Amino acid sequence: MKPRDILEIFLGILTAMGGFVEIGELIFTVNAGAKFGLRLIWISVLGVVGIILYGEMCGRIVAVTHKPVFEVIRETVGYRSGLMTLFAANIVNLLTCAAEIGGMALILKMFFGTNYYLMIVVGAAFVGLVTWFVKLDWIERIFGLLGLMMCVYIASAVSSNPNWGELARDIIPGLPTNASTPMDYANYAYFAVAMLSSIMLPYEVYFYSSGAVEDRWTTDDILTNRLVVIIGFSLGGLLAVALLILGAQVFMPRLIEPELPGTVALAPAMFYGKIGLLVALGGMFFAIAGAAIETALCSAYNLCQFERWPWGKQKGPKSVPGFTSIWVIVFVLATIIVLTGVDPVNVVEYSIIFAVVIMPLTFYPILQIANDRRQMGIYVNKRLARILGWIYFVLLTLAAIAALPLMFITHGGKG
Amino acid sequence: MERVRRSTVKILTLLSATVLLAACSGGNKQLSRTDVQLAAGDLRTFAASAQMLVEQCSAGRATETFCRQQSELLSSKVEDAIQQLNGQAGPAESEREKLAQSAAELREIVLRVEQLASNSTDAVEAKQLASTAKGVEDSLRK
Repeated sequence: MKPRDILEIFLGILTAMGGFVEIGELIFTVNAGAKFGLRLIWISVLGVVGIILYGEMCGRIVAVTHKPVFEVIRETVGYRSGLMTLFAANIVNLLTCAAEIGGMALILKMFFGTNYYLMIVVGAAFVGLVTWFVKLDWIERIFGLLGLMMCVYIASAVSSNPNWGELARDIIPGLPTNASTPMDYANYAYFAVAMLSSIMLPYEVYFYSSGAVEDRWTTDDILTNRLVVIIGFSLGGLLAVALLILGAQVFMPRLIEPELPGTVALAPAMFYGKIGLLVALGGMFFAIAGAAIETALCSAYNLCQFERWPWGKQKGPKSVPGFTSIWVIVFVLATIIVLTGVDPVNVVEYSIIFAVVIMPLTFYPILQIANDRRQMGIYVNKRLARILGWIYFVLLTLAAIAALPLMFITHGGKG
Repeated sequence: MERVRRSTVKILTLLSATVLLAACSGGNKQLSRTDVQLAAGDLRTFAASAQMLVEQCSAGRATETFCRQQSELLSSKVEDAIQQLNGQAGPAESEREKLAQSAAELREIVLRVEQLASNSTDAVEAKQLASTAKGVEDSLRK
């Protein structure tokens, strides 16, 4: 493997860490564990396989056709329908970015003990300056590597001594053992849908595919693409499983359904003291900041690709003023949203549920192109990828239909 | 024309009455059973989080800054829960009162953590408050 191939893996790691372990994933997964024990672990497996499947398709499409996701969407469903997807996707990106900036502020507050609103401004300035001055390659490497501090959650999950037999059994889908009323089942369904959404967040594929275009992938990169999605997304999946285990082992017996990132960070503190706490907070900060950068850049990628405007982070901010203005505006709007005092966890809850709704609109065009022999040639989806792709598409459509009613019925999983 | 005028007057009167009613009931809102149950769930999790925070901070497993800041955030959550419980809950009034009392006690505990003046009794008390809230939550769920 060439040194460049090894570096490419960082792209996958950043996307996986930023995508899996952003503030929404932290809260939803730990809460799912705190409410239903290990029973929802099968959703983590289902989500990881799904994101590997569609992420691989996106990378392969770029390697063969050099088209990023929103160009594919416009070509497949047309301008008008595509515009609807673009609008919804960018609203979700904006809300997610706002939640991440709020999350960063909460973590900075834990480190420095200063005013939350000041930390919002500091956090937003930090991600804004990094996005302006640092090249995409280096953003990938820095946030990918520092985000690996999140591995303290994996170590804590192992130290919590879970029942491995039960964990293996719960990989098979099933109903919750502690549910007795219809509302309990509705809560279970809500968390299943929300967890699937937080693992397969559409911005992950937007960012991954745009990054592949920026890195000028060709058919020589198809093997790298496979390695990147498998290693990167599996690592993210492992973290998701670790968070679920901690929810079940640490928070469920204590009757806690964490609503603050700081409460989640107390789990590593229990096992490794102050060092565990600081490493957990550091890992969370870089994973969440990575997600903030990804979502802001994704808004710019999506709009420019759809409207066929010049774009690219690698080109430098001044050579693509339209693209640069969009991500700057997204950071500013996201900052204003959290400065209003809205709870970032509530914001992310809405963004994750709305993300489910746009999933079929995002994944359908990808599947269509990846199945199209005329465009993909010998790199067209093989039978297994085609069958799995359609199964996931049906599942995501059902989740999209159920998401909003479940959110209202269960009062956001609190019913 | 007269019909349109009369309809407009009716709609405006209705709207004014609604606004007036909303303004009058603002200070003493009516809480449903579900509102009280949701507040009980929140309070249960805040009390249990406070217990965990007291334990970790007393054992020296968290930095002082973390203990102060986390308790400050928890305190604002408890304040929200207290606000949520303001009002009359009809058939669930006794549960509401019990929760409001627990919330006030929890506020004191969290304040002591914020001032780094908590002790092991606070952890025990927080645990009891979490159990009380859980009891109320379960009873309202039935």
